[in-house]
Amino acid sequence: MRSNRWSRWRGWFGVPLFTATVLMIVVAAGCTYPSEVTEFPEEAAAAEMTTIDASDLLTKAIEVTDTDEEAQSFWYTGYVKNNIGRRSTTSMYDGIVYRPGDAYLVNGRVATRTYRYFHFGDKSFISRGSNWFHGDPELVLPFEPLRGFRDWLPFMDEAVKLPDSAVLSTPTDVVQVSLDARAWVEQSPSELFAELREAAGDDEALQHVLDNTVVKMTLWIGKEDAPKQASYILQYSTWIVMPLPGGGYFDQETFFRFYQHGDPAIVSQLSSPERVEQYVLDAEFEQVENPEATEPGTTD
Amino acid sequence: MLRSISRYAAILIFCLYVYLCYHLLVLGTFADWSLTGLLFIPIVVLIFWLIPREQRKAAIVFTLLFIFFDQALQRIHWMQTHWYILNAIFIGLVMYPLVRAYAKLKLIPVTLALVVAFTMNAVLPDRMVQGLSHLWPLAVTKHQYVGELKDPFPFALADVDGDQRDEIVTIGNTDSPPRIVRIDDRTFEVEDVQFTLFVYAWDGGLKRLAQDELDVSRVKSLVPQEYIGFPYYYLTESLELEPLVNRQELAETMTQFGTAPYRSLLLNATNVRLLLDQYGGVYDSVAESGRYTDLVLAEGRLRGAYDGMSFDVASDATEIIGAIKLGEDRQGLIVKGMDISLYELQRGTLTETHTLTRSMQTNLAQSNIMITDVDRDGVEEMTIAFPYTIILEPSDGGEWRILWGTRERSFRFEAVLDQGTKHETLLAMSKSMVRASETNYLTGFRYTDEGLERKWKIYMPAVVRVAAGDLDGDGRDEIVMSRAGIHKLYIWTPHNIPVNEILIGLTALLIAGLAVRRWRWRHAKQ
Repeated sequence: MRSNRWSRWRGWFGVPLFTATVLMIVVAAGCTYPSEVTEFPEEAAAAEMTTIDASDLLTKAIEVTDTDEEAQSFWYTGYVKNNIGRRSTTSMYDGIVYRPGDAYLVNGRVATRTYRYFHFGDKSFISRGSNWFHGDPELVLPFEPLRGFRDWLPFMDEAVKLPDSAVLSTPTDVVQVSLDARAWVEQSPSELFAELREAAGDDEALQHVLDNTVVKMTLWIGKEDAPKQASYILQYSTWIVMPLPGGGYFDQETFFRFYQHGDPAIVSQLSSPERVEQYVLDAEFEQVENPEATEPGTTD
Repeated sequence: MLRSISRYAAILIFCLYVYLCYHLLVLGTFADWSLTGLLFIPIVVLIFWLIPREQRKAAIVFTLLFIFFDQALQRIHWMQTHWYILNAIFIGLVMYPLVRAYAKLKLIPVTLALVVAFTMNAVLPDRMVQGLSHLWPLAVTKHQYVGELKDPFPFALADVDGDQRDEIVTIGNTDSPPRIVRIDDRTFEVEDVQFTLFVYAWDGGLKRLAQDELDVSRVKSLVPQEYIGFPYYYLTESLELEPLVNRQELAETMTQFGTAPYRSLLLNATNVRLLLDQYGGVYDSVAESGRYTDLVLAEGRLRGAYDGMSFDVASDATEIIGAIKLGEDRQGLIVKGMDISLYELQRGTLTETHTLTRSMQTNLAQSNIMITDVDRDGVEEMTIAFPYTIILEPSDGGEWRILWGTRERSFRFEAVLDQGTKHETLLAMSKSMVRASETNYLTGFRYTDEGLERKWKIYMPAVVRVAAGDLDGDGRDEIVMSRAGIHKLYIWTPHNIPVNEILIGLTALLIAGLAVRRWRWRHAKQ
C-alpha cells in the first residue's frame, strides 16, 4: 500500500520535479564565450594589378549611355553610407528616370527621414509624410544624369582593371581609380570643385585634410559584346576615407546602380504633374502661437 | 466574503506571475533560442493538462486574455493619461463579451486582469519590465528630444559639480516646444533646431540641474562628439543642429548621377571645415590624460608633454584616445588616425611602439576604443569596443597580446561596471549564440582566462548606448542607457535577487500544486 502510494506520488511529482531541475540547470549554468580571435590576419599579398588606359572605355560608355535609345529610361537605386564610430548615417535614393519627358522620381531617405520627389521639366513636387508640396523652383537643376562622369577622364589613363563582373547578369568591365582627394580636387576639371580648389590654396589645415583623404572610384561598364546594355554605365561606387576632427577617419560610400533600361512600365509608373498637382497643399505657411500644448515627456 | 477576497487576491497574483514569466522567461528564451525554449511548450501543455477538464478552457482563455491586454496596452501610445485610460476601458469592453460568451469568464476577474495589465504598463512603460530580471529601475528622464531623428543623442557620465558623484550630461531640444505650423486646415509640428544642455544629478531622486547652475562651456565639452547625422547636419557651438542641405537639393543633385561623389566630398569638406573652425583649426586637443598634458593634434603634428617633457612628432592622427598604463609606472599614449598608434616617451623622444593597422583589424576607422584592465595585471588594455570587439594588451617588442576577440559584428562593449572592484562587470551587447539574427541584448560579463563568462543578460529591446557610473555616491555604479526611437534616458541599478530562478521555482510549485489538486480530485472520485 505504502509503496503503491509512493509510486503514485512519484508518478505525479516526477515530471514537475524533473523539469524544474532541468530548468534550473539550464538557467543557472553560466556560459563562457571563448575568444574567437587568437592571431591577427596574415597580411594579404598585394594582388597583381593591371593598369590600363580606360579613357576610351569611359568616353564610349558616356556617349552610348547618353544617346542610345534604350538608355533613355531606367531604374536606379543608390545610397550614401557614412560610418562613424557606432553611428552610421545613410541617405538613400531610388526611383525611375524618363529622359524624353525630362522627368524622374526619387524615393529618398536622409538620416531616417523619408520623402518622395518628382521632377517634371521645370515643375517639381516634394512630399512630407502624406502631404505634397511644390518644390522650390530655384533649387531645380537641369536634369543631366551623365554630368560628372567625364570629369574622371584625367585619371583614367592609370585605371586599374579589376576582374570582369556582372551587374544583374549583364557582364561588365570593371575599372578602378584610386587617388588622394587633393589630387582629385586640383586635377579634376569639375566646376563643382572650383570653390574648394580655391579655398584649399591657402588653407593648410584643409590641405592636410585633403592630402589624407583616400578616394577609390569603381565603375562597372556593360561589356561591348553584351546582348543588351552594351557599353552602358551600370554601376558606380566611390569610397572616401576622410579625417574627421576628433573622430579618427570616417568611411563613406556613394553608390548607384542603373538597371532595367527601356522598361516600358516606367512611363505609367511615373505619374504626371497634373496628377500630383491635385494633391498639393498650396496654402501659405502660417505660424501658430504654441500654447503649452504638448508637454514632452508625459506618456508618449 | 473572505473567500471571494482571497480568490481575487489569487487572481491578481496569478496575473503578476504570468506577466513576469511572459516577459522575463518566455520572451528571453525565444529571443535567444535558448534550450529552455524547447521545454516551454511541454511545460505549458502539462500545466493546462493538470487543470481539471471543466476549468481548463476558462483557465487557458483567461491567461491568453491577460497576455492580450498586456500586449495591447504596451503598443498604445497616448500623450495624455486620460486617453490612455479610455483606450484601456475600450479594449476591456470589446473583449469582455467575447470571453464571456466563449469561456464564461466573469466580469471581476476580467476587470482585474485589465487593471493589472494597465498598472504594470503605466509603471514600467517601454518594455522596461524586461530589465527586471537583473536590474532595478531607479528613474526615467523626460523626453530630451522631439522630432524626426530616430537615433538617440549622445550622453556621458561625469562629475560636473565636483561632489565625487557622476552626473548625466546630454543634449536635447525639448526646452523650447516644437513650433506649430498651419497649412490650410492642417497643423504640423516643426521641431526646434535649438538644443540645450541637460544635466541630471542624483539627490534622493533624479533632478535636472538648472542652466544657471552649470559651467556651460565645460559641460558642453563633456558631451561626446558623435557627429549626429554627419555629413548632413552640423551641431554649432551654440548647440543648433543645422542641416547643411535640404531634401530637394539632395534629390536634384544626386540625380546628376555622375556628380554624386563630388557632391559627397563637398558636403564632407563643408562639415569638416566647420568642425575645424569650431576647434580652432586643430583636430583634437586634450588638456590632461594621465601624465600627458597639453595634447594637441593639428596639421599633421602631435604635440604635448609627458611629466613636463614636451614632444612634437609627425602624425596623421585625428583623435586623442588617451593615456594607457603600461606597468612599472610607465604610461603610453594612444591616438587614432588611419591606424591606431601607441606612443611612449623613450630616451626623451616620443616613439611609436605599437601600431594596429587597418589590415589587422576590420573597420578600424569606425572603431570605438576603451582603455580597460580586465585581467588586472596593472598593464591596461586597448579594447576595441566596436566593431569586432577585441581586447589587446601591449607587450614587449611592439606586439599586441590578444586577450579576447570576437568575429561577431553585432557584439559591442559598452562600459565597465564597478571598475577595479571584485564586482567588476563588463557591459556588452551580445546576440544569441545559436540564432543568426543580429539582435543583441545587454549582457554582463566577467573576464576570465578562458573567455568572457556571462553573469547575466536582460532582454529589453532597443538598447543603444550604456554607460556606468556612481550617481548616488554609494560606491556602486548605476547603469544609464539610451534606447532607439525613445529619446529618454533610463537609470538602473543591478540587484542580486534571483528573479528568474524564483519564477522557475514558482512554476514548479504551481505544477506540484495542480498535480496534488488533480490527484486528490481523481482520488475523491474513485
